[in-house]
Amino acid sequence: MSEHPENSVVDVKDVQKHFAASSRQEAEVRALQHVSFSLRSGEFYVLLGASGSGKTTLLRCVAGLEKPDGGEITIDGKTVFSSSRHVFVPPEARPLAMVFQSYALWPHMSVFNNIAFPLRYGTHRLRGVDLKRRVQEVVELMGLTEQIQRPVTRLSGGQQQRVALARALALEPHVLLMDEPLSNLDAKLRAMLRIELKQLTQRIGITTLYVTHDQIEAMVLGDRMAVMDQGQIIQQGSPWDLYKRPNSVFVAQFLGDMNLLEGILESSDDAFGRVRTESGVIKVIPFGNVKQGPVHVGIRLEDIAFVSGPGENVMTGRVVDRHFLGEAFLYHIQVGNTVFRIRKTETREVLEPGQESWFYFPPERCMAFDSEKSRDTR
Amino acid sequence: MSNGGRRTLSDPVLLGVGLFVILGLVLTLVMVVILILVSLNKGLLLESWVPTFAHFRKVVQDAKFWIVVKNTSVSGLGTVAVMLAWAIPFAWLYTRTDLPGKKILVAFLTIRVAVPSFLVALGYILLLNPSNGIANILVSRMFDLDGPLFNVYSLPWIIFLQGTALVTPCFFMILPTFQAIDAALEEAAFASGVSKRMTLMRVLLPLAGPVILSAAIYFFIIAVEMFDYAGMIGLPRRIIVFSTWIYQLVVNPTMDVPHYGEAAALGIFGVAFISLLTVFYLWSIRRAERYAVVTGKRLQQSATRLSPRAKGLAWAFIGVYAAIEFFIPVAMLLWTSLLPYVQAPSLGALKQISLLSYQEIWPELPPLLWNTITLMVAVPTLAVMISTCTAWVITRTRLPGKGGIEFALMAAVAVPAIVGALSFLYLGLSVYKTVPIYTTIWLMVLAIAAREVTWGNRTISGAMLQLHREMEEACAVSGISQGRTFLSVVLPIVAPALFFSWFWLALLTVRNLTVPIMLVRPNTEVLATAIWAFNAAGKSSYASALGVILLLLVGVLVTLFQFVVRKKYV
Repeated sequence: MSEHPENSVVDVKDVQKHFAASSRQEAEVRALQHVSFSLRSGEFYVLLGASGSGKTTLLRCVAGLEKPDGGEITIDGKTVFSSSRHVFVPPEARPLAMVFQSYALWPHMSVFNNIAFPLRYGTHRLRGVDLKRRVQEVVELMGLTEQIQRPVTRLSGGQQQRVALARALALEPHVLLMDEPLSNLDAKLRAMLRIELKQLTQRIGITTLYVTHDQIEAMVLGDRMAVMDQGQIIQQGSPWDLYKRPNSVFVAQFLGDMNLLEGILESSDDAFGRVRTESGVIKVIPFGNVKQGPVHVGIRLEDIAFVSGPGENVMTGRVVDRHFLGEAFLYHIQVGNTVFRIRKTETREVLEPGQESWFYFPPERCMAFDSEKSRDTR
Repeated sequence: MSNGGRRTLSDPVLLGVGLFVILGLVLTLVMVVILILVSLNKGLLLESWVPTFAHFRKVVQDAKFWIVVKNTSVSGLGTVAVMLAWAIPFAWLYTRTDLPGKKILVAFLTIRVAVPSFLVALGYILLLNPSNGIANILVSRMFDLDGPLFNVYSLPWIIFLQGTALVTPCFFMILPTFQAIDAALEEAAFASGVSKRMTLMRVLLPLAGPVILSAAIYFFIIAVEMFDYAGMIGLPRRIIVFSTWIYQLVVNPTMDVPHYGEAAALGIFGVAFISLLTVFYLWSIRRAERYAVVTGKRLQQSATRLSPRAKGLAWAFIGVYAAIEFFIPVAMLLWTSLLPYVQAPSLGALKQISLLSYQEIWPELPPLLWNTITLMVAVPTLAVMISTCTAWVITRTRLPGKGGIEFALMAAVAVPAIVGALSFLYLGLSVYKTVPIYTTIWLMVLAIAAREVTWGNRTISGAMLQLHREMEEACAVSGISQGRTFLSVVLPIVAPALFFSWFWLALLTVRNLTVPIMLVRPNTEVLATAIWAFNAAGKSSYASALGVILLLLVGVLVTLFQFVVRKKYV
């Protein structure tokens, strides 16, 4: 079922978790349904999903803060949870550290003590000089030297975030878990820390499991990522693969905006398929074993090109309107009865509203999905 | 715990927490279980068990039964009426008008808490008793009357003083609702040409109505079990209510044997009645929440502008309250404590002023102070330790059955103070041969703490709920044990709530007359019981002098609290 690489650090197999209904009217919540994935050593793995998709529950199961109802979790080759063998290792005995959304810094302690407290009283204890040296190391790594004696409540949001990360790294965990650690920061700071975080984890080579609802964050940070919905992993792979070769309209739309049109897949070979739409026949890539019959064809806003004449996958349309977005133009183009959205960053060739033109739908960018699977789109 | 078997018993801290939780439950259950056992047992103490309903029958058939039911209901309803007659105008003046110097009103209301109710009662006995009450002497001196004009020993005076005593907690209970009502609702009425009075009666009061109703029910329960005024003022003239009848049956029996069984049966009636009222109360607050008119806007609202005359009247009203509840009783105590016997102010009396009473009770003071201070320190310490542990287990763990713990602690509210004391008295007597706690102050400590755990648990639970769950999870994933997390993270963060609870419970403890009066032994006298005894024996000067000393002790406690708070949290 799941890949089983030899060097996997975290191995999650067939994990399930239910939450009891909070009232009689509500149904039981199936937070995780048979989820499997694994983390390779040194990898940055992102769980991406909307709220309620089960991504945080999955992370908390790995941490040991939640106990799954079924399945098996292995960290560093050691089973930390197994429903069949009745194994449950509590969070404090798992070789990991975690950064929380709220940072969860202990407000009555200074920066130094927030970092030193787990080292003093945790599972792997350090004393005296060793302890000081370890704290010093992470404080320097995170650029917090000046703030070391300050109460954490007096720090800015970005600094608090760094303390939370420093506290986790000081434990020298085998796995670092992060639960939306950047979501409390403003957009600019978030974008900056995102890059910093990526560089840092690459430099120290730590295995990281990261939860976010922000698809840009997921794609920037992840070596690999999983898109989750309703307690299931819908697709996992590299950000590039997921963006360019999504297995469903759900994944495709979660990672970025796209145009959709309905049609009938008439024939397909290994490379391309042909879809009959109301605006004509277009050549597409059929993803995820699409069968002949009704399909959705998706194409991203930036993938439709302006061309000067007819050809394969070229349709004529009329510019309905044009909006200036700063770094790009957004066009609404009427092709037959369908209105397409096109985003163009090059501003040399500008079409005017009302203008008729040719539009090229590159076959390798046109993705066909089963209509069945596409139903629960957002 | 169910959280996947985070080990419990291997951690000494968790073991300690468990012991305190069990102690809290035992103390709570003692009050109910012993009460039921005693009420149904014909035998003596816990030595023999002969089930019977005779105690219940005897209580109901007693000639006093319906008189007590009537007196208690009348006094409860009257008390609530008097209380609302003060508290609603105060809340309205404070939140909805431009009355200048409103802060002083809150200062008056707060300072009242420092004066134990039985001292206020004592003050009014000195002022208004028919034989030598100072007001009666003054009035008859002026108008040459035959009999005394005032007689404090009557149900109306009990009602008036109880009602006035409950104004402070009632005010703070209804205040948030009065503050939350949007001023625009009143301004809309004014703008439509509706008068201030009509707006108050037809807009504001109906909006605050549900909250006023739930306050009325809540304080009716309190009034039914109040002992201080009924005991000090009612008992001497045999005006008996629920709480004083229990006292009579046990401590001051007309025949020489204490009637524990009947007292317990009466106690069960009380518990049942209050449980019923509590259900009604819970229904009323749910309804009040549904009616909530919080608009989100939190402007400093004072829609109603008072005329200079209205301002004067308002301040006169507040002044009368302050005089009745604080200045008059305290002045009575001071004045009487400085004289050899109760006298109206006169030149002759002024000449006799001395510290003689203080000198004469001086030798009695050391054991009284020692016992009082022991209670004042031990009770809140024990109650806060238990409540901290129960609150933590209830709010921060996934222990199965924690809902049961919470329910048991909350249900203890239905046991009136005097009934709880009765259970502990009986327990103390029963186990006397094996555990001689009955003759020590520690039985009192346990009995008072048992009542205070409910309040402590609720307050500290509130503080712990504020604590973000991730604070503790951060400990867990950092390899820190649950016990260490409790000690080093949870406790320091909720420390302000623990401090506050400790001081508040210490204050409640020194104000407590009900429990000590039931459990007092010759060697466990505290200031409250000594004041009671001196007053009953007609030694008003001694009672007053001890009253002044008790007020000084409270003063020290409050000053200390201010000092600690300022030093630590400002």
